[in-house]
Amino acid sequence: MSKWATFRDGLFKNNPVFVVNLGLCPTLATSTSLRDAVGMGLAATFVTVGSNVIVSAIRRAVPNRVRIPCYVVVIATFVTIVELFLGAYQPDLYKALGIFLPLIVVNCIVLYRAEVYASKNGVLSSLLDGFGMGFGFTLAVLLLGFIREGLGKGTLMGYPVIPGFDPVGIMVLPPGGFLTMGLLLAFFSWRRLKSKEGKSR
Amino acid sequence: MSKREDTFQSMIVVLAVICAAAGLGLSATYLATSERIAAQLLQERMAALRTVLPEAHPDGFSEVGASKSAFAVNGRYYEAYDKPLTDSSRKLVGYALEAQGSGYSSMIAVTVGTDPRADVVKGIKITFQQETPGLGTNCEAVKAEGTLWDALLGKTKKTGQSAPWFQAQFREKRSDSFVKVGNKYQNIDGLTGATITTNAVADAVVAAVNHFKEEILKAPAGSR
Repeated sequence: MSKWATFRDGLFKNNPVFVVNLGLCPTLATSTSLRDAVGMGLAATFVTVGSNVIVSAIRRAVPNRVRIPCYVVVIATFVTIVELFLGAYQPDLYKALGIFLPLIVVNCIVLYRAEVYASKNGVLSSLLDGFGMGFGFTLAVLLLGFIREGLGKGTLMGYPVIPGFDPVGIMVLPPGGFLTMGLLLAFFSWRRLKSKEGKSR
Repeated sequence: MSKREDTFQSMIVVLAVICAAAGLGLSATYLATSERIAAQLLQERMAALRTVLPEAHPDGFSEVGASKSAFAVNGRYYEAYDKPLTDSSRKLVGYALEAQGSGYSSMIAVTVGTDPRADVVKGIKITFQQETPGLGTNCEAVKAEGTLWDALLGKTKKTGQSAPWFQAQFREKRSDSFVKVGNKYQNIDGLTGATITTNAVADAVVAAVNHFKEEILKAPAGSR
């Protein structure tokens, strides 16, 4: 696979949220506002790239049967170091990210890429894959955030869009999140099936 | 590509090395950053004090002591004066209390400013919370100026109103005006979809002020 394809894969064809169905929890939790969505997406991308690179760098030294604990330690350590540095040198960004930073440790996508890709490929490829998957995740959260904040609060990035719009409150609550996610998943599934049909003619 | 063998020995060694490296990395980072982080926290604490009692002089806060109510995050409360502590002509303008309450998913830390008799809440500032993003976190949300289109076209007017609306509504409210009917405080607007967060903040404010009034202010001088 070319380097460009490695990166591009995570954006749409193999989107971690809509195709592989991972990271649904943080997606739903942080998509109630666009601002949170952006923060979460960027933080998760940063961690995915970093952990992919480190896991790829040590992949030959790690025995097969202890690879998962090793990856988890690496990921958790990386996130904590990022947290500490942000807290010291970028306190405003740290406050804005808030609880999302530690949450990334349990974001399935990070461990998924470490196990499925970074442990089996070179550092540069893993770096690109990390960006692709991270941005794919970011796009998913942004899409949901756009719909949920727009309909559920009538605002985007905190700014009201249509004056006088009466917001559909349930969109920012869990049922609204699941509804939106379900409909989007159905839509993207349908598109994939259609394109498969088209190719096999 | 070859991987290290799966022997018992190699597994233990590799895990131990990785954990040791992680431990070293973490403690080194901690040492390098703990001072700055502590300084940030102190700065935030002082900023909260100044926000809740703007009529006090920025250097006129004197940390007095520990009040032992459940709503005191560390028991700290401060006397606030209109002039720096070195000025002997300073007058007391109120008190600042550090309180806390159980929110939905976190302890919420609030700094409360009161008048000298602890009858009126002069203002509050939430200094720590990890509530549900988009719902409970709106306790720190600032209402945007203008609509999305104004912002995109660069037409937003900066009226300087940057206090979170939820916290601003606590200003100049008498502590006895906080009456609950059912599960809802009558004198404040709650956060949409975040009743627990709303009540946690208000409960903490009311309890802190009342406790302070009863235990501290009414105690005979000399036993504080």
